[in-house]
Amino acid sequence: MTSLTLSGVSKSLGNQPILHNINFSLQPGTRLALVGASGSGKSTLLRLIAGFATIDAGSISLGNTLLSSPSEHLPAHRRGIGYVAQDGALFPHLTARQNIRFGLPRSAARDGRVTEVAELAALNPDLLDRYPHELSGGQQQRVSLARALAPQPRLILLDEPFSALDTGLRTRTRQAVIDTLQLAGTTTILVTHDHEEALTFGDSVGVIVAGHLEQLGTPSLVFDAPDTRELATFLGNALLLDAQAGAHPASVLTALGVVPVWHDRTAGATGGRTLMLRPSQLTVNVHQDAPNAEIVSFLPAGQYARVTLRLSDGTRIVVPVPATTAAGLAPRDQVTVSVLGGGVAYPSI
Amino acid sequence: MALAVLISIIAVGMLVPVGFIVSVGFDVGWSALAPLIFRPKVLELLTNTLLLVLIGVPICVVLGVGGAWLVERTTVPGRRVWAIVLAAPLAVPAFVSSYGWVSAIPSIGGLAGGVLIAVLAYYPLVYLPALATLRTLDPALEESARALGLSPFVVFVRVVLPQLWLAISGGALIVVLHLLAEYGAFALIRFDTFTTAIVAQFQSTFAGPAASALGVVLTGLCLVFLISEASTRGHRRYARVGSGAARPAPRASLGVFTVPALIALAGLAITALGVPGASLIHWLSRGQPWAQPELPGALGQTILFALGGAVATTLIALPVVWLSVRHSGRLSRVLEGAMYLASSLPTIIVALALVTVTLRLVPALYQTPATVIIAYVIVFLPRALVSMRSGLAQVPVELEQAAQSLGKSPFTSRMRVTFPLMAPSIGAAAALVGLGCANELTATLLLAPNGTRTLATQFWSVSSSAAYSNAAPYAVLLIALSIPAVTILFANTRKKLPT
Repeated sequence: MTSLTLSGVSKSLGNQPILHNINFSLQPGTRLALVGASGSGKSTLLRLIAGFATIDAGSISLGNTLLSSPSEHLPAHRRGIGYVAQDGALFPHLTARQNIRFGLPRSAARDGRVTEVAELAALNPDLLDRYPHELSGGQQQRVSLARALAPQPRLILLDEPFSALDTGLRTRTRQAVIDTLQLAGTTTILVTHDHEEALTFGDSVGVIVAGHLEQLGTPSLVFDAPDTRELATFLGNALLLDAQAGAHPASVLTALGVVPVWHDRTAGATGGRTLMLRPSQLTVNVHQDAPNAEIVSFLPAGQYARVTLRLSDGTRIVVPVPATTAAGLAPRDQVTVSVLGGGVAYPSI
Repeated sequence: MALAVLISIIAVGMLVPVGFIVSVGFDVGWSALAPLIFRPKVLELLTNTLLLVLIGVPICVVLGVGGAWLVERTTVPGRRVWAIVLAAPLAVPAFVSSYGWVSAIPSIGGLAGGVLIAVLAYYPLVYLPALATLRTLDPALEESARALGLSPFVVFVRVVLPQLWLAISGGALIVVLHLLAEYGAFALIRFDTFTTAIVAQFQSTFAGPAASALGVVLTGLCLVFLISEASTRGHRRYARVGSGAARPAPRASLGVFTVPALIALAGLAITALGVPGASLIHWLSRGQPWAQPELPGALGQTILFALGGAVATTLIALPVVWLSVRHSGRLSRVLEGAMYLASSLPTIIVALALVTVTLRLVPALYQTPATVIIAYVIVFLPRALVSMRSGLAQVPVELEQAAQSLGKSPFTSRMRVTFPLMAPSIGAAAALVGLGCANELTATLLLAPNGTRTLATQFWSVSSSAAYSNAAPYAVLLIALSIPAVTILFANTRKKLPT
C-alpha cells in the first residue's frame, strides 16, 4: 500500500488557469471525495493523476514513484492507477467478462480473478456474458469498477461515476461501490459535483473552487465548520444570521437569541459577525411564552414542510419542520425557534 | 505534429489538379487562352451545361424530397418497399441507365434527353439525405407548431423544410458535381457538355490547350456552384437543441391522394429502373453475350483496381480522420477542406492533371495502374472520410484512456479497442470507395495502361459501337457490384433515432 502525494500541482489550458497550487496527501486504503461545481477543475485533477494530461508545475507521487512533474511524465498505462469514467467507458464490443479480463495478464489464474472481482462488486455471474448494452446503468458501473479493480491497482479514480444514474439507483450503486472498495481496501478518489455524495462517500472531503483546493478534512468537519461562507452555502442549505459579540467570548447574539460559536472563522477580524447554522439545527415550537418568529408561509414537502419564518429583525429563514408539527401551523402564527448546538462565525461582508 | 506534416503532404498531393488548372492559366497565357474560351462552341457547352443543372437539379430536389416525404411521413401503402425502390437507381450507373434508354429509344438526345437521364440517375442523391434527415427530426417541433395554430401544410413549409435545407442543398450540390463530371451517360445520347467536349478534345489533340481551356472554364463553373452552396448555409443552426423527443413523427393520411401518389411512385420506378431493366433483359436474350472471352478478364481487372483504390484510399483517409476527430482545429479543417475541394473537381480535370504531371515530372508513372489508383484516391477520398469520421467519432477517447488505465500502451489500446470499434466504418468506407472505383469510367479511360479492360471501359467500348447486346453483361455486372454500396448508404439512413 502506498500513499498519493500532490505538491504544488498547477495546470493551465492555453492562457486559462485550470488548477492552482494543489497540495494534499492521501493515506493508503482511504477514500477521498473531491467536490466542486462544473468547470471547477476537479475532473482535470483526476486526469492529471491518471496520466491523461501533463502538469505545468509541482509534482504527483505514488509511494516512492514520481508520476508527474513538469519534466517527467509516467505514461498512464505504467502508473497502475485504475480509472472509472462517468459513463463507465465499457468497451462495447466486449462482454462484461471480457471487459473485466481486459487489463489482466494472460495466465491460468485470469478467469479466477474475474470471478473474484465480480463477486466483490456484487455482480451476478449470469451478467458476465452480456454485452454492455444489455446491462442496466448500475450494472455497467459495477462492471466498470470490477474491471478497474481486477489488476489490483494502487489507486482508483472515480470520475462522477453515478451522475448518469437516476436517484434511487444512484444511492444503491454508490453504496455497493463503497462496500466493494472497503472490502478491497483500495485507495480511492471520487470527484463529484454532488455535495451529499461527497459527504457520504469519503473518509475525507476536499472542496475545489475555481481551481483552488479550498478545504480538505473529514466530512463532518467540512460540513459543520466550512472555512468560508461560500463553502458553507455550497455544501448544503445554510442559514446566515447577523450577529453581535455576546457576553461570553464563545457566543454571539442573534435574532434567535444567544447562540454558542463552535467554530470561529473570523480570524481576529473586527466589526460585525455572520453566524452560520444548518437548518437541521433549528426546531420550531408553538404555544411558547416567548415567541421569536412569525410564520410567513409553508410548503408541504412529504415528511417535512418547508416553513418560511420572519425573525424579530426582519430576516427571513426557511426551516424544515416535521409534517406532523406543520399540520398545526398557519401563516401569522407566532412561534419560538430554538437552536441545537452552536454555529460557525464569519466576518460580516 | 508528425501527423499534421503527413496530412499536409497528402493535402498537397490532393491539390495537384487544382495546381494544374492554375498552371495552365500561367503556361498558356491569357492571350492564347481567351480565344479558346470565348468562342461559340464554349458558349454552346456552357448553355447546355447550365440548362442541364438549372432544369435537372430542381427536378431532382422535388423528386428526392417528395419521395422521402411520401415514404417517411405518410401512410402511402407499401412504403417500406417504396423506400428501397426509390434508392435503387443509385445502383444503376448513369451510363448504364443512358444505355438502357438509348437502346430502347435510339432517337433520345438533346437537352430533354440529358435532363431525363440525369434526373433518373441522380435524384436519389437528394432522396437519401432527405430521408435520413426526416427520420431524425424532432417531432416535438412540429407538434409545437401545430399547437400554435399552423396547418399541416404550413408546418411542412415553415418547420420541416428549413430543417431539411442542409440535406437538400448538400444533395443538390452533389448532383451538380455529378452532372458537371458525367461523361458516359451524355456521350451515349450525344448531348454535349463540358466534360464530353474535353474528352473529345483530349482524344483528338491529346492534352492540347483547347482541352485545358475547357478544363479551366469547367473548374470555374464547379467553383461557382461550390461557393454558392456554401454561402446559402449561412449561420443558422439546424441541429437539435437538446436530445429532442425520442419517438417517430406521426404519419399523414393521404386520403384521396393515395392513388395519385402510388401512380407517381410507380411512374418513377418504371422510368428509373424499369426501362434500363427491360433493355438489359432484351439485349441479354439476343445472341450469346455472356460468352464474350473478355468478360472474366474485365471482371478480374475491375476487382483488382477496385481493391487497390479501396485499400489506398482507406489507408490515406485514416490519418486524416484521426487528425480531424482527435485533434480538431483550424489546421485540420483547412487540410480537410483542401481535400474536399480537390475531390469536387470533375474527374476529367483530375485525369488531365495526372496525365500532365506524370508526363512532365514522373514519366515512369504515366499510364500505370499506380496513376489510376492516385486518381481514385483524389476522387473518392471524401467517401472514405465521411464514413470513417463518423466511425471514429463514435469511439470516445475515454475508451482508449480506460484501456491505458488498465495497463495497455497507446498502440495496444488503439489496436484492441479503437480499431475493432471502427472496423464497420472502415469496411463501409472501403466498400463505398471500391465500388466507386469499379464504376469509374473517365479517369480509367484516360489513365489506365494500354490493354486495360475494366467492366466500365469494356462496357463503354462495346456500347459506343452500338453492340448493345455485348454491352449488357457488363452492365449487369456493374449493377451487381453497385448493390452493396447502395445497401450501405440506404442502411445509414435507417439508423435508429438518437435517444
